[in-house]
Amino acid sequence: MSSTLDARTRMQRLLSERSPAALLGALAGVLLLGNAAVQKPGLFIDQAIGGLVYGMILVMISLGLALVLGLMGVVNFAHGALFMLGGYFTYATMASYGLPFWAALLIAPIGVGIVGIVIEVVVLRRLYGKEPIIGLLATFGLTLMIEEAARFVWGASAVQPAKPEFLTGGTDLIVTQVGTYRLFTVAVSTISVAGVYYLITKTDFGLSVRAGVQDGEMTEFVGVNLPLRFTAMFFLGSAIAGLGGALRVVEFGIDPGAAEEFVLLAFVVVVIGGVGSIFGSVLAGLLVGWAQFLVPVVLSALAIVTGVSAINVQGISDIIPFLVMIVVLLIRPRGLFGEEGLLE
Amino acid sequence: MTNSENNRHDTGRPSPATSVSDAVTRRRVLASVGAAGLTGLAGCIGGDDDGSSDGETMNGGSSLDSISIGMVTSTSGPFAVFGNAAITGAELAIEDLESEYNVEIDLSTDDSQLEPGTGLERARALVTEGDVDFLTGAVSSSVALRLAGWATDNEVTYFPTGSHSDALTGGECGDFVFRPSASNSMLANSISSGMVEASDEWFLMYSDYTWGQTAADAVQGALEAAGNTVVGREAVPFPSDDYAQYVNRAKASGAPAIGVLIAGLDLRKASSQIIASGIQDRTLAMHQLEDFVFWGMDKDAASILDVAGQVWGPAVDGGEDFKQRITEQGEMDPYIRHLLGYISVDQGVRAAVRAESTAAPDMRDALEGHEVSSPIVDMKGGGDMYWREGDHQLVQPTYTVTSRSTDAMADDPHKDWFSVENKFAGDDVTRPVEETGCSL
Repeated sequence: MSSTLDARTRMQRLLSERSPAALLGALAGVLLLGNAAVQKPGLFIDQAIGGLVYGMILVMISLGLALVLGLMGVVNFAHGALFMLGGYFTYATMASYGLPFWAALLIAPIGVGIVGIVIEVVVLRRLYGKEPIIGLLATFGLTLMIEEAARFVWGASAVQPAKPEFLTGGTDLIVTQVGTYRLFTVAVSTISVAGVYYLITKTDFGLSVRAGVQDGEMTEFVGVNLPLRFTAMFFLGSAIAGLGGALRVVEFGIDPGAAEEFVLLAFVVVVIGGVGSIFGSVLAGLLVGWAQFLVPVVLSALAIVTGVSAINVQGISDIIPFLVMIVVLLIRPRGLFGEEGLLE
Repeated sequence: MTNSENNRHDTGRPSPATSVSDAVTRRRVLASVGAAGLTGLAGCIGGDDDGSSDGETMNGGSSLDSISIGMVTSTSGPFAVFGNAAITGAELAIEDLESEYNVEIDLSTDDSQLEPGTGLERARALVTEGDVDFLTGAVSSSVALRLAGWATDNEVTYFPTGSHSDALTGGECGDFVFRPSASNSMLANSISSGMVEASDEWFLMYSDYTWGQTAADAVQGALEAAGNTVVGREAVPFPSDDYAQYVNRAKASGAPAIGVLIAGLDLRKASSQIIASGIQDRTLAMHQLEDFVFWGMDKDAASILDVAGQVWGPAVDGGEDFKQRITEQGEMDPYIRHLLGYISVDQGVRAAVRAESTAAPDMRDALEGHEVSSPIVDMKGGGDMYWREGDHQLVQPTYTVTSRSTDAMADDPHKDWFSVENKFAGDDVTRPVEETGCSL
């Protein structure tokens, strides 16, 4: 399990496994980044901070998926739909019932967590131990159902509740200015990651869940109510997805298409990080965020140095997560911190 | 038969009988089947332009006691709000036309899902299985261009309701394609004087698909023609879940003014992140303002706009009754997509009535050079409107608007957050036919 090894050990192991070619590639990357920092220092700093912020938002979106996939082995394609539901529940709580943002931030994740419990008990519990593709297909079907239900209730158009007054505008970070709400999202994301990490690695509950994943029969034999723990874990993963949606809807609004839009990105992050590793997902989220923000600057700076304008490819940002995934999988097929044997 | 509208120009086209290719197209087969079916009827009632009926059978693909219209548009995804508004507008037009002409009008709609392939599949089904007489719809220019190509090949009249791409009335114009909205270049030319005055240097952010690309080209062309400089332009994937990196690049460019050519509701995200980045004090221009996009933001955020082009909006002085009817529907406040839906159906039906036929060549002849005098002229705020013969563009007035102060933003009886700065005659902002690349 990912959490049985500390981050430093994992990083050392990762570096020790690198070939000279990979290290040369890393050196080239550093040089390119250095060139970009020299050529466009202001933009480089803006994008580095922007990438960090965006990366943490990606971590927030993918954390619940990493948890359910990594610990329970369920390929939960409905994660995006749960994320979307979090947005709609927040909207309903604030716009329809007039409750404040803070109440919505609590109610929406719990509501989504309850939906997650229903999904786990009614559908997924029957699929444990079976081929992952079966769980994927089942949750894909659930995604379609939840999407259509949302469309029926809230319509096809995007909805967005009002942002709390004190979270509007930007915050001056001296070297750049970042949206206050985005910084709030980063803070929530950081707390969530820390909380989940603590729960999984430092509590009896986390230990028993991990034990149950490795040897369910033996774990139940010693008196652990494993189904209850799995349900609780799915509640947690769903609630975190709902929290991500709750944060998202206030910033940009949400529509039924969000379910599919974000589940792909979440899967990319989890795959890059390595299935089974929460730490890997955090690092992957940051890596993707930085890559999306910095690669265009790197290409632009390289175009200046070489005089070849074609290098500065317009509109490349959206494919960067997938390029990063391809590169990582070519070098390390199980992802940056994926464990051998998990879902293989 | 008394025409309520008049042909402004002699089309100079050969008659339908000689202008249509001899090739047997699917549309022709359908039309023939329709005509054969009609001959078996005792007679159908055709509608006169003035609303009277003469009881005569009309030639062409359909009798005019009923007209069936297909609308393929976005009813899901990021453009759903635009597609649904167009449908509402179309339904109002049908109410009015049925009352005026004593003709039964049927509207069939389907979702393009923002995919050109899906849009084409749905349009084809509406024509071949649903037997619609002509097509309207599409929000996305990519979808509209695909439908336009198919409509041209198959002799189906098509009004690309909500697409602004210059290609539709340019290099990819079609014999049976008539654009009811203003083109990107019309809107770019409308705001260029305001942009030229506002700043010498501009940075352009644009949605990276047909609409955005042609918009950026049009705006850049207009600015540079006036001696201004575009210091940089950034293609933004559409839709995008985050605009921070593009806003950072606009900020780093140092340009004192930013042209935000972002489509649909993504404009909200871009505007929010412009404010969050602290560059809202720079001059901000948008070449195509859709009021609805800003209604989803708070008024402070919506007040950042300095200059924007607009086909029509609630601030335009005209069409008060239309605005009221939309408001009474209660779904959303009136804005341009409602009117575009209305215009598409209004002009299609009137062309069919004038032509006494729904056959595409007949409708084409009824539209080319036609000077519009229907209620849509008043709705648009007055001014000349006509279907230009050379590219099938509905030449019409355009506007530039600016944000009102938050205190002056009205919410009752409907939202009205912007004020009109200038009105432009269509002929003054439409590029000459010879520059369009269209060779009809």
